[in-house]
Amino acid sequence: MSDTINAGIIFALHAHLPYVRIPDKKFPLQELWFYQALTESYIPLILCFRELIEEKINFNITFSISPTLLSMLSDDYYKIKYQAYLNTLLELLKRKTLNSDNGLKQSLTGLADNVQKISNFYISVKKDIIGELKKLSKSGKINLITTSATHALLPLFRFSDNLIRSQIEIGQLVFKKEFGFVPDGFWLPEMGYYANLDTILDEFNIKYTFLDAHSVYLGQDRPSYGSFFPSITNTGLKILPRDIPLSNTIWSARTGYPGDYRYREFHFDYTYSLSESELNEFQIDRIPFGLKIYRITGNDIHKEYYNHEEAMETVKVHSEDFINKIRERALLIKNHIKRTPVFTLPFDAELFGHWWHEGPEFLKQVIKKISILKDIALFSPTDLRNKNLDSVIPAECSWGREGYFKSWTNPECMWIYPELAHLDVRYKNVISKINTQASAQAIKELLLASASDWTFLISNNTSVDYGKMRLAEHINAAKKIIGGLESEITDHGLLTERHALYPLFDFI
Amino acid sequence: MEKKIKKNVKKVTKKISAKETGKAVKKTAKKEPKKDVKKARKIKNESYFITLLKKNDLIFASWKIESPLWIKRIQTAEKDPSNKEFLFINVSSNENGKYIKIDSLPVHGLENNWHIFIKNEYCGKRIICSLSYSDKKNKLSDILISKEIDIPYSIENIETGRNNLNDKKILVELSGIKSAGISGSDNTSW
Repeated sequence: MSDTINAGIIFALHAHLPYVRIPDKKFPLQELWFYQALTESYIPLILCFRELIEEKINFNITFSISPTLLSMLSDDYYKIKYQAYLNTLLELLKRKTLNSDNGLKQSLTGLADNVQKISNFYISVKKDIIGELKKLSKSGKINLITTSATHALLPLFRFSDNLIRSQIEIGQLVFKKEFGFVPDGFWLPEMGYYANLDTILDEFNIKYTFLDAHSVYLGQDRPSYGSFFPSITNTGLKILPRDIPLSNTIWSARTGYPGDYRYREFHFDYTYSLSESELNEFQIDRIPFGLKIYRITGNDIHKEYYNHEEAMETVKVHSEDFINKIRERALLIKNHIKRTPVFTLPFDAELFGHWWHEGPEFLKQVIKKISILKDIALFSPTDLRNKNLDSVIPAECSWGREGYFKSWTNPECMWIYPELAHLDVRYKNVISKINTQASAQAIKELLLASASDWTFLISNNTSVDYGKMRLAEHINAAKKIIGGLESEITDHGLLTERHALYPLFDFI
Repeated sequence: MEKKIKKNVKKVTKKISAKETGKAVKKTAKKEPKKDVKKARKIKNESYFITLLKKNDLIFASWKIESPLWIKRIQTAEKDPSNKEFLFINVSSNENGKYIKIDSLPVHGLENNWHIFIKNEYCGKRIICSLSYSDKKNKLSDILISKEIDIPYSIENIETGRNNLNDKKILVELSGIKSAGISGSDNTSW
């Protein structure tokens, strides 16, 4: 590390969506999560990274992409439906623009231009988003990593080494299938860590992961510099602890930049203002379809139209402010740890663009600014050598509410853990009975039931019914299939039906 | 009496070190009548004992006992008001590979899940829980054993210097973990 550097920054983005597939509906809400994340986050972030590379900016960002998301990105089913979504959105915007007055017209036109840009890009890359990520990875600027197969929160499945290992192994296999290599890093879903997990990760040659700050203070062994530099476990796993104050500058809904009144409003969707006949004509439900035309304005329900230029001016101010905050924090911390701090800043990728529309532009400006500075540098997780790291035994933790597992252990969903423990034991008993199709489908159902998303939806009171339905569906299917393996009677109809419904991980 | 308990603890420790996690203990099964042993062998692997850290002060435990002999013993004991037989969750800490019992919690025999409130003496320790049965003669037998949990120190532990963090108090302050209620990322996930 050069002597002039006063602060190091490691940026990491984690892209994940649950595997949802509802073929009998044109644009179901749960699939819209994916289409909107593509339009608002994944494609804008790819465009942002491409621009930085074209401008020969020196930077590094770690980008984690979940196996369920990769499965959806590579599937023609979603490619066709996503293009149809973009076309419908553009048609709808065009129609509404014709009949609107000035303010509304300007806002709708701005959104339409933006969606058109995304659509043009999607067509130009022949709908191959994974191909674009590959190119970014080859540039050396984007450091792609993976996570567990269905985004299972691993500490909650500690009872089953079989499930944990399947989650990690299949996560790596899906990644390798798409990108041709197994990455050194591994994003632990929800930054969930538990005793001895480093030993299991070591079996899969995983060299680094990201944890929340309290993991390095509340465990049995602590690094001398706390959470202000990476540390290392006994098995050689590098721990990159999140810096909470700097993260919150970007992330906090109340005090962070994204809450500025000039930025685009996330919650108010113009779809709610469409007439019943318009909804029928475009065959869409009265659910947020992605017609985001307002700015945050204030805390009450009155919303003004979004002004793009004004928002871009605000991004300039905030990106400059963020650099100053890094500088101030580095000076403060350096006094206490006697070394240059390295702040790890991990975020959900969907924050940039989906939740915070201006996020990709903010990220681009921060990276550009840092690239010409001498006192702040961007690092990749592998830049810092292990020999310079203090040892740590991390505390069990997550980055969820209150720092542990409350969000996934709500009384309404606690029943799944004993159920899955029992199914896992039964599965292990029958795995030797050779029936490849049935055993593959059984493990797929167990993996899908273990996704952190369903319990999160239930605990957060959003799409509760869907979360409950998916849990019940996968657990029931697993019961039937494992029961079939036990009694050596295969229901081929059921296996075919289940695979057709959720055709992911077909290499198992 | 004290000698007896020590002997039992030693026995428990020995069994836990044998890494029989999540499985019925063989030694106990041997004593069952021949017929029951056969049945138990057939289905014993469907037993499980899971422990999950829910919050920094709470562990959720859940189990399923498949051994007919154990099921019968527990049910009989529960029906008899004068019984002196109990089901326990024993909490032991891993001290450099040796397991030392630090707590013993009586459990209602007909339950199959329990909440364990984390006490100060668990904090900063790698613990293991065993579902154990104590008979009329205080003879302790392990039925099922959980996986290990690293119990985190709490913010209060930091305040009181319990986890030897005195020299790092200022780093803890600067880290933001206290003001954020440990974690500030309520916005996680899509």
